[in-house]
Amino acid sequence: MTPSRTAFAAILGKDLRTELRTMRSLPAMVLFAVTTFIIFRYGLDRTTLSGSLAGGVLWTTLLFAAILGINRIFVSEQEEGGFDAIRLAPVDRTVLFMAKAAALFIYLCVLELIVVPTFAVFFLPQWSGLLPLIAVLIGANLGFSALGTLISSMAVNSRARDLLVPLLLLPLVVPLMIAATGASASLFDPGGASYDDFGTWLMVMGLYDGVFCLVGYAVFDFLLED
Amino acid sequence: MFDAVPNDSTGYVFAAYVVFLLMILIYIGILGAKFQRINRDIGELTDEVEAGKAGVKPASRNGGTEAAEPEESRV
Amino acid sequence: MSSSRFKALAIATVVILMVGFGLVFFWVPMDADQGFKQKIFYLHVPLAIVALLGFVAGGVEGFRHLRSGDRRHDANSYVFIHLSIVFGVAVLITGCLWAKASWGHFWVWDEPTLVSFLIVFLMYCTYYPFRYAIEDRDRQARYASVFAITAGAFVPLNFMAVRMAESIIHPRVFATSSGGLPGSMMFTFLVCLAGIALLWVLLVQVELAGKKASGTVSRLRRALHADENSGGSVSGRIAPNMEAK
Repeated sequence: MTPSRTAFAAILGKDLRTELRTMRSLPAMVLFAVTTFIIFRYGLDRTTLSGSLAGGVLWTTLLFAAILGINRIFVSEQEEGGFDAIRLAPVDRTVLFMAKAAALFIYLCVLELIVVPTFAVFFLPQWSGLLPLIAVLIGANLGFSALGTLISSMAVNSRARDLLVPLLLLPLVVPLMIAATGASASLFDPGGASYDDFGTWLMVMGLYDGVFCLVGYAVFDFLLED
Repeated sequence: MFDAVPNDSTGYVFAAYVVFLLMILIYIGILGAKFQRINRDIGELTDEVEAGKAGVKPASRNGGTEAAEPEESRV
Repeated sequence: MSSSRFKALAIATVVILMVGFGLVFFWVPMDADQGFKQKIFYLHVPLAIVALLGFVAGGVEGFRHLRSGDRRHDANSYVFIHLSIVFGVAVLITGCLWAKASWGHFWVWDEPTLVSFLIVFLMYCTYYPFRYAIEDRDRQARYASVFAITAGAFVPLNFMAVRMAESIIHPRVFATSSGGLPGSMMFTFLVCLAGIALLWVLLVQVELAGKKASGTVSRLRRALHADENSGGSVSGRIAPNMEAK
């Protein structure tokens, strides 16, 4: 293994172990998402959802739950001096970006593993759209983790950390949300999943993910300099 | 498709150009305020330099004007 | 920029803008479907184009700042984005007026360009609170550049996604006015575009000169008060000062 691979595995392993032991982000994200479903149930006054409404509810909930997690991914590094440690370590600094993005990706997958079935049980009359939805979830998670890691590392060193993450992130993920809801809307059609424009939306997501992974990878170095 | 569209849309066209003109005027106003502030700061500094030359100890100014709310965010 | 070139730029801006608006109101023929209200086009579209190009140019300057570490590029990036936000306000207001005049509503969600412009505008509005929340000046400049680059990459993506959402959900009813313009309209449009672009450049130069002046003043103050208050007075500002040169 090359040194950056070792560092990547070490940081990712550390993050996952810390999360497993302290349970700081994930339970809060799941609880938040499930409670939001209940609010939507009464706010929209519907017991079943389909089509674009189902997509909207699912993605709004996932987005806000993800922001809770994104807010926290760099807090421990900031408070316990992890940034200084990575600056001193003889490894490429973008390793930190990739490890954090990977950790966030895993958090989001775990979150969705719990929340999406809950959503299906609560609201969906038929579940044929859930299998292809996995592709949409993965595409969106990639975008969230690349952009979330970038924004979180920008915000964590400022005075208004908790305020800035949603403020900066929300406009930036609008295209991703457009694509995700566009792709899921037809999957949740009341008569069973259909695939209108499914591929086109996945391609938009892929482009978005690619651009922001590259941007994050390219500029992250400058956020750690001091 | 849009039957309810009012026929006299002239007002909106002029409104658009007036908005543009007004924004430029407001911008000039803000620039003027900024210019005034810089002028005042330069005046203060000049006073201090002249006072220092005359052998008087310069009055202590703590740069309070500098910490004023930055005007850029208000535009 | 020397004062004579400043003057020349200002005169050129005013002349071209006046010629452009003169052409709009007295020369160019009425649009066949839209009639008189189409004349907002000659103001709204150039403003939008210049504002978007300014945002992208801000990203490019941010990139150059990160590459070279030269503070002047950060100041440029700040001023570009700042002026494009000011222009953006004008774009949104004139866009609303145009929508009201031609479709009867101040806001039309089917108009992808307007909606994507709003999203881009809202995102760039977070530039100020973001900059303001970082105290260390070097870090502030660097982070702002990272923001400018990220946002610059976001602008085209966002336009593509919003446009696609519209064309997939329901095909566009209104063709874009820029496609297939008759020659006289195209000429008027280009004159207006040149005028607005010159206005942007002029205001950029004015802002930069202002930054330079206030930078010099605070440098002078620090030199005078070197013993009394050791230079903490500048840290509360959002805007980068150009203290060098």
